[in-house]
Amino acid sequence: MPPVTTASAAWQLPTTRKSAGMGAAVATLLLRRATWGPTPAAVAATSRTSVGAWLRAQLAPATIPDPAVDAALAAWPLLGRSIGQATAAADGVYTGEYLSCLVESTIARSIWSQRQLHEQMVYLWSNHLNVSLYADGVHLSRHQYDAVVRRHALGRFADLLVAAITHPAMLRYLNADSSRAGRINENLGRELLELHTLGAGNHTETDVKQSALALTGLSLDRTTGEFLYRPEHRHVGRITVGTWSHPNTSAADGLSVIRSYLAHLARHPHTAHRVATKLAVRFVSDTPPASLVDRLTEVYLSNDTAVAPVLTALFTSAEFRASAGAKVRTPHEDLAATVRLLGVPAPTAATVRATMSGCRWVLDGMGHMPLSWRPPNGYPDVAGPWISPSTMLGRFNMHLSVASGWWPTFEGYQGPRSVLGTATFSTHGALVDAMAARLMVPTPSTTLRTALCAFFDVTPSTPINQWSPMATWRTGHLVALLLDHPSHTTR
Amino acid sequence: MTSTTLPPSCGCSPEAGLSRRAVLRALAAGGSLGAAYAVASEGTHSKYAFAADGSTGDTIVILSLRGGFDGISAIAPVGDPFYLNARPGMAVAPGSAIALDRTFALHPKMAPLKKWWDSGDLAVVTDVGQADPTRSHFDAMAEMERAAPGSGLRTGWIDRLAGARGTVDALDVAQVGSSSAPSSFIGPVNESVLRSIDSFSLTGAGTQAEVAGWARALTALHAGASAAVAGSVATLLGAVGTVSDVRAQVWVPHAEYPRDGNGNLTSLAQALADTARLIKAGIGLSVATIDSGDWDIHEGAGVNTTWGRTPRKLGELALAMSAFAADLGPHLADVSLVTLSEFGRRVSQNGTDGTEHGHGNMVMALGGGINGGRVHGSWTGLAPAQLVDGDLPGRTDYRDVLTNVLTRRTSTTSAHLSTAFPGLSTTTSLDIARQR
Repeated sequence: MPPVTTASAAWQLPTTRKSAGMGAAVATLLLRRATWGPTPAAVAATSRTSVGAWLRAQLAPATIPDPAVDAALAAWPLLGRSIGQATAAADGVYTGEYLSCLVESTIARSIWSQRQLHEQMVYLWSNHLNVSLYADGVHLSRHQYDAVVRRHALGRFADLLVAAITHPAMLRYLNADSSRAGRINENLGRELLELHTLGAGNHTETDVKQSALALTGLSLDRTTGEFLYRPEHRHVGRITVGTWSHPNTSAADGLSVIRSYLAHLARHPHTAHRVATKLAVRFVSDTPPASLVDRLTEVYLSNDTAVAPVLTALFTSAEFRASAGAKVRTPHEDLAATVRLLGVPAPTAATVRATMSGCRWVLDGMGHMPLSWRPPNGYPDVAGPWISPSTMLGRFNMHLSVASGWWPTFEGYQGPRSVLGTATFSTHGALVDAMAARLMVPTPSTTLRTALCAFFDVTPSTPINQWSPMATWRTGHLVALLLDHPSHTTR
Repeated sequence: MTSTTLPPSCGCSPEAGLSRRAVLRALAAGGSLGAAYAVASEGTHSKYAFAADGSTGDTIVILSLRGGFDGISAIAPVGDPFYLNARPGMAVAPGSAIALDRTFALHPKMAPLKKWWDSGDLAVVTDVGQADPTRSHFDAMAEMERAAPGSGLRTGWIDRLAGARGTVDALDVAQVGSSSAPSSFIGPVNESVLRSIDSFSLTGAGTQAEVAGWARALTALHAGASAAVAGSVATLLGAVGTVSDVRAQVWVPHAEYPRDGNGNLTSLAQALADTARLIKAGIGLSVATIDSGDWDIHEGAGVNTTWGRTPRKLGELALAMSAFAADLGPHLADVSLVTLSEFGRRVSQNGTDGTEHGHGNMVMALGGGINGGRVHGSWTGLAPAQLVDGDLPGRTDYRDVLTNVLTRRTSTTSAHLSTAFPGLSTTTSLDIARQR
């Protein structure tokens, strides 16, 4: 079997003592959860290092070279424009282009970025602080909101919260830009408490109204589209939300009051518990143990909302190690894991847009186009919504279409017969077993091996010759069937 | 009875039985592969109570208007003096509204529904709400679809109803038009989810033999899967053949559904058109659920404009519902559609040409067996003293609305209902639907 090239560079971590190696089982679990999908080669490399060393590298994404993604990003130059530049641009670019670029690049990064844990956390925060790209009026700011999420994804939640809540895209999405003293809109004030920080059941309707007052003044420059604080919109007078209270005596000082309010919310124990739960649900279990969530809550609070220590505590916990098989892959994760497993190299900027555009519609067909969830609570992160009959069908069809090289087509993918390289097999059963191992599917039972061979009208002991469909024109079917295995549906 | 021919290793769920419903479906679908995945003897599993004529009652369509439907902009109480007081900038203008009675009028964009009101197929229920209101979208939706306030149940009401009625066939209950199930489906029964009829097919399986081959392999692959995944795959394999048969039938919608700017059916229209197609194919669909999103209009409602969000949303809804009724033709006699939303909007407008989260709401019921042309419920007006924290109260529990329709239009029994809606003890005088 030839080496699997995808992502192999990422796993060249500092050499540690041999005894510190985490081993294949832990490496497999870690890569299935903390990345968008493992490969046999990545597991082999990662198993020789320690969880701590792997995390230290991934938690410093700026230090990880990412040349393939850097090159591919040249296909989306619009993403480099500021909101003001995009708003002022008179070059006839269709405004929806900014959103298309964002979705396409998001998928590409998930598949090929070496900064895999960062990409996972960008996914998590993008949903926790969701700004749907279908929202009215965010088409020129949503890509810059993404840049903000990326900047803070492994930093402190307190910083992320301020940057997100005061961003033009969020203000537009939840209408805070038009809310002003005497003409209040509660939308952002409510979801800030219910979704972004304290969580449902931890605030009152009075708190919602006060929260909306506390956010007045946040607005946009109608000409440039950039953020603008408008003191003339500011509600003045004492504001109380739960245990936070401020005299709020001057419209001119409103922005500092807002920062104080958000700083309070970010450090509130309810917020800590909510963030800890989100992380545990993303990386451990749909129903994470309370012991773990409580411990992560403590780590979050004692590290002033810094995310990295929480992630370290999570991935080194006994609860994490005991959680193999407990999570279902989202459709996006299934697609990314499929492409990564097949060893498809990153396309060049010349073809990456067409390929990612195809992937976008594949994911849309399964209800999981990135950044597209319309309500403010973000995509669900538990199994139920992702295993409906329609979505299972979408997975099966996607596996066959991608593995066969039909659509979307990936530059550099040599087709299903390349997956096992030049290795040859004497029997169909041996081919099934080798392909299963290559695709990280558990070795098939006798019953399953027989059933898979029966799909090709052969038995496991039937010799392979130059006309055997499984080894020739129907190899894509074998790859697809093995990717349909429930071990690939889970992570 | 004995089943038709089938390979023993079919892709069926182990407990799937060949109910009378499946037989009817197979006959309707030409007796081909659709029924082929359900293999068992009649009577073993079929708990469904059939009417004497063999029918199982209306297909119930639950249309969820997600985000908080502003009922009093759709069915506006223009005759209530407090309406204009509460919404000086966004009350439906009486001059353009379409009068229903002395109090209520349809928003002008709801005009396509007037003919169904006049024909007695469309009714309105006022002040509909939940026992335990909340202004959180997500809690309100979850509670509405759990439908078991005060209990610790985690399952959804449609799943409990299907379980109680003994529904076992893949296409008895289906979400149509989206990729994932509503939380009313949470629970042990495996309902179907069809994003669309046209997309519901296995790539690479062009013939029935190839579909059967994939079904056998996929079933073998999922032998050790979690119950949830394995159940979903079994449901998929049970439904895919039937849907293929439906797709093979010549289909021409008998109505003009609304389209988007690109000329495609809107997603709501596509979902309703597919539902009508399944109903007309006679495959035994008993409950269909459909989502319509983006009703959370906090600003830019523009109620009396052409560009506002409210008239655009109401226009699409009315056109789609009206086309659905017209498309069904004589089948409308066997269909009851009910609109639900997690909450209504605050009675008073907010500061940004929109409304905030509220509670009580308007429900629409559409179907041949509906006592239409009437406003049901217990409307007491919008005087501040009648409101609760600025909201319409939920004087009629939405579960009572559903109970009225289910008991009169389907063979749902009181025992089934006590499972679907545990603890619902209110007795109401609702008369929304006629006894079938």
